[in-house]
Amino acid sequence: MMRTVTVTMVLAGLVLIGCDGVEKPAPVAPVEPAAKAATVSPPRDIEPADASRQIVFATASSDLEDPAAAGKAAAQAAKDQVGARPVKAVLISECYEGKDRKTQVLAGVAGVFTATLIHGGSTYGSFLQSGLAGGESVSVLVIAGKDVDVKVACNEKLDTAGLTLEQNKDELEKRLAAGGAELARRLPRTGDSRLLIVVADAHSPKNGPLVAGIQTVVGKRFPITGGSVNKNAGQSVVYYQGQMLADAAVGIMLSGNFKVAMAGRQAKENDQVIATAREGSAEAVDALAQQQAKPAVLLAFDCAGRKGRLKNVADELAAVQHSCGKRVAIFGTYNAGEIGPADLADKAPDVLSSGVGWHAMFTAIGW
Amino acid sequence: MRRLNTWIVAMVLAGLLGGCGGAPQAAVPAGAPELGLRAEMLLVTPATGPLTHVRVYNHSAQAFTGVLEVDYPEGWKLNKTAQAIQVAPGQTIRVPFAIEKGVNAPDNSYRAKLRVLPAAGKPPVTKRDQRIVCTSAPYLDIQVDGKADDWKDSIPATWWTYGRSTVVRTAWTKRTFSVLVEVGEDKHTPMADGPMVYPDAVQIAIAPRDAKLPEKAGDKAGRHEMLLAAAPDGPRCLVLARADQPVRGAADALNKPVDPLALETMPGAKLAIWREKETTFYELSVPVKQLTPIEPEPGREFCFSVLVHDGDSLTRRDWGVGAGLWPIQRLRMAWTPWKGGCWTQTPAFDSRIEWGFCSSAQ
Repeated sequence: MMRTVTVTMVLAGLVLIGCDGVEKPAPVAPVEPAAKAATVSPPRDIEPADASRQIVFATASSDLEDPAAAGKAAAQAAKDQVGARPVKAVLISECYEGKDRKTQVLAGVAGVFTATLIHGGSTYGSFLQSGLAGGESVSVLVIAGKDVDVKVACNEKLDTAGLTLEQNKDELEKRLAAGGAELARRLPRTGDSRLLIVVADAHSPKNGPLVAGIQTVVGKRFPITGGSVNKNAGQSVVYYQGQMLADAAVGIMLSGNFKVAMAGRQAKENDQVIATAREGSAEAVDALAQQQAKPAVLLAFDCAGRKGRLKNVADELAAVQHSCGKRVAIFGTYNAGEIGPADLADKAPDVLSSGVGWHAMFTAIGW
Repeated sequence: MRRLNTWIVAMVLAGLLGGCGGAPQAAVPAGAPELGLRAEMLLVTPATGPLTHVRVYNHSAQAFTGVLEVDYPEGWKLNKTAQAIQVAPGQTIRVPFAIEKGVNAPDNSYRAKLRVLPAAGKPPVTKRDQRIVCTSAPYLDIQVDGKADDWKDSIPATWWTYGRSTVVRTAWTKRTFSVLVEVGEDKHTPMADGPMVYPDAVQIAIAPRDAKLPEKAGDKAGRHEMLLAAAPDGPRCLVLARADQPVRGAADALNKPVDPLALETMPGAKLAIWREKETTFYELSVPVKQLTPIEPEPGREFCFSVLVHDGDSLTRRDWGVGAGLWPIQRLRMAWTPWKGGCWTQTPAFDSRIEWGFCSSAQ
């Protein structure tokens, strides 16, 4: 008994001393690698497109605690900008938590606009010229005017629920490609069709085969942009004609006499997220300028992962404003996958848009 | 009795040799620079293509210039597998590597082999083989109900101490941050009033990514620190520290540990503690608003760590071991000592260990 106690006490002593030995503690100050000094051009004040086209892109947001009040407030603020112009589509980006609260947001927006005009998706937040819309908030983009034609279609059943990349990769990719192709077939395209916006319940990398499927119909060089809805459990919603759908994809085809220019950038760390936001938005605006057009709106389908890497989320919006100024409308959303020109070394050279992750996809629309 | 002694010896030896951090860093050859290596834990799942980092610490008085080589699991593709490094004396650098193609492992355990060479093609001056895990809290709406069934899509971080396993899972919504700690142990001892008792308890610390450690009594704690225990009046989440409040105790706090039963309960926290076979489960949810300035967002980093106090065996399990922290990262001011805890002259590891928020697994 005494021997057992002695052994136990000795062993307990060894245990309590610890395995690693005792060293004089010294604080370790992690040091980030020195950021490459970047030459940043001065902030720009880009002149927006004039009123020669009857096309308006109106944006507004609200983060009221009451989701219905928020939906109504954002919708009304956008409608006030549109005036008497015919509304062609209302794109919403909301991040209220839970189906009940999302339903209330939708009801709020539908109290201002006809429900069949309302499309969009659940996201991880948005950013407009007026600022960030994070936390729980809703942002709206209203497309209005007689000189823009908007056609919308939906594939209500991508038929991918329950399939995972780990276990069903081939089948999943096949269904997504087929789903994308079917969506594109449902969308009429004319010689004036300029841009396809896709909002889908297909997070990266599933958005890759979805976009590839779309391109079997519209072609590899047709401008496509968009985002994947919030992939958090119970939070994934695609909005189509005022309905709340899952496992679905919406396509919004914009047609008219206007120009489109696109750029995409990838980044996974704070400094690079900011720099690529500045570069990508500048590239899109400059590419539009090369077509002798001024921007009416800058769309930004951005990545929630990029947002998470920012020490200060407002820095990315500031970077975009550095490139396009404060007079051009901005409609940016944070998504679970992005569609646009991929910033990848191994991207296919003949393909304009791809479904990827960790990107910010910029599309400047103007004349 | 002989069987018991043999078991005790085996347990101690397993503890000395084990730990999920992997093999200890290889001994430094004579004359070689003294460098600490550590692959950080992955903050989102590998399949999402995260950025990860390797830390290199220069213990010595000489600057070091060389090459860091990394080898992650087979089938992964990184943007680079080697990078030139320069580390000043006493400096720690974080070297980034982008995982362009990664594969999620069912057991959430991944090998990371690190080597530092004085120049490409030369023999390594130091190396380390680690097992790393994804330490990420996915979006999950957890109900604290004494059942672990709604944790099935969480990401387990497992480590071994003295032959016993501890598993930590975390989850978030916009309103709650949840933790499930599974402690492999023979029995569970609750807190009791009266004479000194060494109870079983779990101590957690959560802090913003750039949190500073307090240096002396009166400094802000910089972290939210909680003690989860079965108190005489039921399971309680007790507040040891608040990020914006002065830290309790000082460097000599071992002599003045706080009385846990005199601590306030975390407002709005829910805690369940139960046993299943040889495991004690601690299931906690805390309102996010109590953890300001931490705001959950997919991809956002924060600091998190766990100490498990096993009063029956007078041992302390430290996630810092599982995360492969260096011995110099044992820091007295990183945790608040409390009466009945397994405190020794050897400080616990720094509680500011990388952790992340991510989206739900789908």
